[in-house]
This record gives sequence, C-alpha cells and structure tokens, in this order.
Amino acid sequence: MATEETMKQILADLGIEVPEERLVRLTKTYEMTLAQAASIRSESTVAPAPSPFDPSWETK
Amino acid sequence: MPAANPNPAPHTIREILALLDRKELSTLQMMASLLTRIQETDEAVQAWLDVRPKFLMELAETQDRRRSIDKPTTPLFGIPIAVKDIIDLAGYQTICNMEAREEVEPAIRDADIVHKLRKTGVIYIGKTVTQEAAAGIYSDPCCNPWDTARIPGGSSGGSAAAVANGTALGGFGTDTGGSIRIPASLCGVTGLKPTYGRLSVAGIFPLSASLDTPGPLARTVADCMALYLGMQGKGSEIPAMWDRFPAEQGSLAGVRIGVITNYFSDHLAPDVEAAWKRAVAHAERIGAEIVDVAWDDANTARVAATLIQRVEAFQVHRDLLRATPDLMGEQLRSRVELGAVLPADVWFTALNARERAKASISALYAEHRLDVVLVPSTPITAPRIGETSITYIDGVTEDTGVALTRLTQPWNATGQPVFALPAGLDSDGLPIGLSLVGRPDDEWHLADIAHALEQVV
Repeated sequence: MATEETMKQILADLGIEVPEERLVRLTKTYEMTLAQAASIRSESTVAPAPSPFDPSWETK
Repeated sequence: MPAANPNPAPHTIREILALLDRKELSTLQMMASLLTRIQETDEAVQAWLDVRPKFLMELAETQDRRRSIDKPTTPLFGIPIAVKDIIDLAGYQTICNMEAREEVEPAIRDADIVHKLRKTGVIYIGKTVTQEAAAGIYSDPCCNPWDTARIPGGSSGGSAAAVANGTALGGFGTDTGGSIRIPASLCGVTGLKPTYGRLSVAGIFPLSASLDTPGPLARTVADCMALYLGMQGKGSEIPAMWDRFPAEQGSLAGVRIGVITNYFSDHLAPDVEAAWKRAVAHAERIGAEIVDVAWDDANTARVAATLIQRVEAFQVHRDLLRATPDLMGEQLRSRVELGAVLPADVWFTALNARERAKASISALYAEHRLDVVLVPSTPITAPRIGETSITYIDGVTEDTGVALTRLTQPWNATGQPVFALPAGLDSDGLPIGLSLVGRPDDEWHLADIAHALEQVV
C-alpha cells in the first residue's frame, strides 16, 4: 500500500494520472522489476560512463 | 488458416539484378508480378500498409525507359524494398501503428538510411506493419506467411513477412531487443543487426536511444550486405561486393566459433535445439573450430537491456502518457508507466550492468580467440496468434514476449553485430532461426562466416 501511494505521488508529480486498477498492476510490476534490478546489481555503487568497447576486442 | 504459400519465387536481389541486366525481365514485369502477389495474398498476410500501385507502375515504366537508353549506373536499379513504418519515407505517413499518430502529416524527407539507399536505384514499395511504437514482438495485424494463424514476430514483422512472402526483395527493420532477428527467425529470412551506432537513426521514430539499431532484412547474407552498404551511403561498393560471396561452398578453416553452453541452451524447443546442433556440426565439417564456452553475464545483459529500454521509452512517450493515455495500447502504456516510476538507482544499476556485460563478453572472445558465437535466435518457432505463453517439454512455462526476446536481448546490451540466419524447418513446417554474433565493427568478417554457413544450413 505504501508503494502504491508512492507510485501515485511520483506519477502525479509527472502529471500522469493512473486509475486505481492500473496502479495495483503497476505496483506489482514495479516490485518485480526492482527485484530484477537487484539481481544484477554489483557491489560498485557508481555507474561507469558509457565507454567504447574494451580494447581486448582488437586482440584476435 | 491456410499458409499464404511463402517463397513463391525464391529470387534474391542478386538473381533479379542479373535477370534485369540480361533483359530477361523488365522492371515493369517484375512490378506487375509483385503487385499481383500483394493483391492476392496480402489480405491474409497484412504485411503492407500503404502501397500505391499506379505510382509504382509508372516508376517501373520510367526505369525501363532509362534502361533502354543506357545501362543503369546505380547498383540496385529497380530492386523492390519494404520500409518499416517507424522509418520516414518521403510522402508517406510514419504512423508507427500508434492511434495517436493516425493523422500525422506525411514525412517531408526520407530517413537518412532510406535517403542513402534510394541513391542505389531501389524502388520503395511502401510501408510495412510494425508493433505499436516498435515496442513488442507481435506486429499485429500482420500474420506469418508460413501459417497465417501465427505471428510473424516483431517489431519488424511486416518487413520480414513481405520478404518471406515474395512481395519485396529486401526491407528495412530496426532492432532494440530483437526486432530484426525475431521476425527473421519466425519468417525464415535473413537479417542483420549491425553494431550499435553503425547506421544513422535520423528520421526513425525512437524506442530506446541507446539500443535502437536499424538494419536490413533480405533472403541472403549477400543481399543484406548490399543493402547495408547502401544504407551507409556506400552504394558504389556494391558491384564489387558480390564476388565476395561466391555460390561455391566456402570453407571455415581457421574460424573459431563459440557455442555458449549456458543460458542459450535453456528451455529450447527440441527442433530448435536439434537445428542448432546440426548447424554446429555443419560448421565443423567445413573447417570451423568449435569451442564450448560459458558466458555468466548473459542474463545480466538481458535484464540491463530491458531496464534501459523501459526508462528510455518513457522519455519518448512521456507527453503522450500525460495527454492521451487512452490512445496507447495496453502493452505500450504499461511499459511506459513502468519507465516513469523506476528510480535513478535502477537506471544506474542497469548502466553499470551493461558495461560489465560488454567487458565480460569481450574478455570471453579474447580468451578463446573467437571470431563469432553461434546460438539460436529464438527458443521456439512462430507461436499462434493469441498464444500468450509457451510451455516447454520440461514443463516450464514462459510468457511469449519473454521467450522470444530471451536470446536476442543480451546482444542489444553488448551492441555486437548479429546475423540472423534461417536454419531449416521444424516438424510443423515452420522456420527455425540461428544467430551468428560477431565482434563490434566486424560486420564483413561476420558476413563471410554467415555466408559460408548459410550454404550448409
């Protein structure tokens, strides 16, 4: 419920209206997505800047 | 529903160019035949959105008149091409299968890659069906020409179906999570997702800016590479290019092919798995060295690509979601709403994971001195329309959209070039697709290997 309220507030701040039944579905998907993100999180908290491919591509 | 009889005239661009050159076929004859085919079959397949027969016949007649005066100086003179409807074609609307864009003004200029390829003398037949905003794998209402009760894949489903059905010799696609390779696999045609950033996206409706990659669909590797050259504005190199792809069987001696034994072997339809193994055996028979490898970050790459796509899609569709959400289809709207609420922490996690996946795959190629990796394009053949989940023989059930993108999305995260190749038919007579994944910016070496392999699979 707390997550749903947070979702509602974020969306409202963005000027987006989401009906209640959609909000319930969205909250479920959101929580699943957070779990997915957690599964690929590394110990590093700093996202690297997008970089060219590793030079090791050139070694063959 | 009956199949629409795909591949009625299995001609390649190269073969048609030879027929036109020898005057055994006129552009007008070819166009008349193609338009008849569209008229006879497209009510069932529904690959095409906007085809203008009178204009096309006049164009073909003009080309024939020019040809009668002098030999064409453009390398793809008269070749009929399909344009996915998220790509601007001057004089045509770019609706992107979006209700909100139904009244959009026609494009006043071609997308950059359309403009460049136009200079090779191709004829644009019209626009082809895509999934709404290119965000998905169904391409409704287009059907698969091999069985019109099945989906063509997406989001470049219309272009792939048109090529498979013999109503175009090549087409434009775009690939953000598999949208060239999935329909290529399901429709039994060849597709190239080039290295991210190799082709211009100017004039193409975006889905996810750091992943969107346009590329060609056609019947063969050589045809794809001709279109790829044209899309880069290098059409003058096409005539000399054909000799690079001889009809005789090539050798793969000295080529090291990685077969990823984890992740890509999970939950495959038996016929797909068998076709993959056959292709590996064929590659070995013609000289390739096969190396079994594991890539532990495949799922990380896939999840990263999904998260990045959700956040970037929100940036594209924010105003639409605010103003007229009821004009959005359910799938697109749900995705964009999710992108709106994902926190920055998720975004940074995804960017971080993408960089890790790039680093680990390049290390894998370096460690094993791999030229390419060979994996299935999709774990299944074309699902039936309305089939929302797939159950594998091990009893595992998977959402159809997840299944079809599971093996393609990791390569969007890494940005590597991929050739999607047809690899025979399953027991239901439906096409199976395999993917050859190259090193970044190594499209030509990848194409050489893909050409040798397509002759044996």
